[in-house]
Amino acid sequence: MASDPRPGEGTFLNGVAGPAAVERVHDAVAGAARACPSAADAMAFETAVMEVIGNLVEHAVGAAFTLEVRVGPESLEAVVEDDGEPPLLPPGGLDAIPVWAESGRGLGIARAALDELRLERRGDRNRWVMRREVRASST
Amino acid sequence: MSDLSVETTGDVRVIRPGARLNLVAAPRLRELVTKEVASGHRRFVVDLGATEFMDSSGLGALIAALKTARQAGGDLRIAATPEQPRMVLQLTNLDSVLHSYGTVDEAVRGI
Repeated sequence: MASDPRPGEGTFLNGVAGPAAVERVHDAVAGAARACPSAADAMAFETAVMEVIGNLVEHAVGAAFTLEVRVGPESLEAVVEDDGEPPLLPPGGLDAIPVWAESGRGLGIARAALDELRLERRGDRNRWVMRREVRASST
Repeated sequence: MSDLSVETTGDVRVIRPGARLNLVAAPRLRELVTKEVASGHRRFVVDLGATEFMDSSGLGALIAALKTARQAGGDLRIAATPEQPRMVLQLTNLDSVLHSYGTVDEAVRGI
């Protein structure tokens, strides 16, 4: 896995879905999000991206993925592509999950923390598009 | 990053997860509480003071740990929760089930 942060241009990363990838992806996403002037928006974005990565790690172990993060003055954006099977998305939102459930909230959290979460199937690849608008200039 | 420690305050076990309570660290928290209950402990405070980041797996582990403690006739509380885990609790409406106490002392008192 390689991380290549270029200010203003974005952070690119690739790896294989598995627990070993999590901390390195997280470091890269948190590092990129730090360029956002709003810590609150960066925090929500980081949370959402890591839920999508978590979904990949739990449901598509071994899939090859790429991650691109772009942090601009108005929005934080990420695109994750992977060559895993098409994921099964939960039919309902967070409200549909029983209080005592121990799993199943990941994508609901991602959706709630983003302004846009889109999943596309392109050929044999999944493409997750994530966007969080910058609301505040500081916390 | 994923260190996990336990100490005793009175008869309450205070558990401290590491900086990221994520899908790597969550299974260890679950296992720890299961083991603690098996060896007779029933009351737990999870000190989230150092936990800057929690994902849905970490949240799931806290729910599992709470259930394990309650099934043993005990309880589990969380304390000193930073902003990000607090946001996750609010987004999922679990802040009422896992009410966060301001400090570990406050949580230990009366549990």
